[in-house]
Amino acid sequence: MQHANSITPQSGDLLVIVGTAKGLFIFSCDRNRREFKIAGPYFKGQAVFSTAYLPDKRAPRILVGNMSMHWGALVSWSDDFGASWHEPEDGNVKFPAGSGLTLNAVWALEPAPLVGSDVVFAGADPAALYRSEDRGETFRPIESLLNHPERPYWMPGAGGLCLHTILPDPRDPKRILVGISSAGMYRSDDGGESWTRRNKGVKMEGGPPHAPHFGPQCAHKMRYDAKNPARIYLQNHPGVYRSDDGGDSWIDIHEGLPSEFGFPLVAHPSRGDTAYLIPLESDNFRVPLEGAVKVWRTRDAGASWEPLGKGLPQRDCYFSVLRDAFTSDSLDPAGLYFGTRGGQLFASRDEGESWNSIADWLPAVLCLKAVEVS
Amino acid sequence: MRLALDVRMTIDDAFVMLGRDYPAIRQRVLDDQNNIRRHVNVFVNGENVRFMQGGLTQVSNDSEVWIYPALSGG
Repeated sequence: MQHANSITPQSGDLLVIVGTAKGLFIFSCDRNRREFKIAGPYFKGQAVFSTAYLPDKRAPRILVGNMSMHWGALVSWSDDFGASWHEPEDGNVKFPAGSGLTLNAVWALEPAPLVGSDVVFAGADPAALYRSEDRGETFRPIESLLNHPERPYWMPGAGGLCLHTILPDPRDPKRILVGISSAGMYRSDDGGESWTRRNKGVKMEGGPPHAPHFGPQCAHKMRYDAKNPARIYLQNHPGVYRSDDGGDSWIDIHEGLPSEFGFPLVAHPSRGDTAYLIPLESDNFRVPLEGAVKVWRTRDAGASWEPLGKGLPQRDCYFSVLRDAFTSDSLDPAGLYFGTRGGQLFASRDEGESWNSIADWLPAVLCLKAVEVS
Repeated sequence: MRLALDVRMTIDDAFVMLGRDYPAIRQRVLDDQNNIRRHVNVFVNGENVRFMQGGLTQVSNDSEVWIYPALSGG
């Protein structure tokens, strides 16, 4: 693979932006997706928990949620595909003075073009939602969620109390669903003024069945269906679910899967009723079942599931894939990509039917985004 | 660098004061509640403030302050 200190992609090229425990890497290729160039590492020694790409013909921007163990966490950005980076002098994602909270990491970065062309949301650890009006340069906290009356019941997971998933509604600019470990899902229908929990039907782990639907709830990853804007898929801890009413209620769709436990979930970018998971053996043993890595796909909204493993390790394999380390591009056929805690990066050009490794020795992969350069 | 202090103050306040001209230093030494970050060691006159009064450790105009990243990571 060719290594470069920076990249100069052409329109139509693909970028796979990889956040790891020790820096950021950018893989680039043309639409054939056969030969990748790697650039980086950027932010050497820093953990990169989140990335986003803001397409713009004049100045496409790569946003990064980077965290130095010593010096704190920020959102940084590049307007030249990594040739240079802006790291704000003062923190741009901060908890209010007197709140008693301090930022550990930025877990999610989500552009929201339906809300505003320059709007980006950020999800933080400890759980909080932030909004930017200037393409990710400055952020303000959404106080209504920060001060939610149910906050005392939210508990940190192993990775912290993180707001890891932000789903702006594809039709309604005032509606947004967020996922928090470990609090479950909350939705605002009024542009962030108020929030209600949306865990109805989701089995609760670590509590009696009659307990209210908050507390030890732990949504791992949610994604909208590509064709049905009211349909959302959920990989939970444990359980796999689907909502057909925008999150008001959830039904169990794990039947046919070898395990209810896993972290990432990807919805096909253009095909409805289609989603992908990477199940792990159990909460107590978070590795591929029987040492064999399989990506599981549904093409009927969870009524059935099929394993896909051609080209993936099928024995003695004990890596795991974190919730944000699995993604798709928007090409046809869709490409899929996942990175592991062991530092491998796998790619499929044929919607998961077959896979190959495009990197073997990265630091632990924390997050991935695959984007087409416009 | 030198920070002129007219009065004695806590080390936390000194960093906030330093941050007026050097926000990047303050951002990296203090967290969002203006407490010294967990993985940062601050020494005042050779003593680690962790073993003194923490962020309330007093400094004056002739105090010598050193900032070190803690020996942590992986």
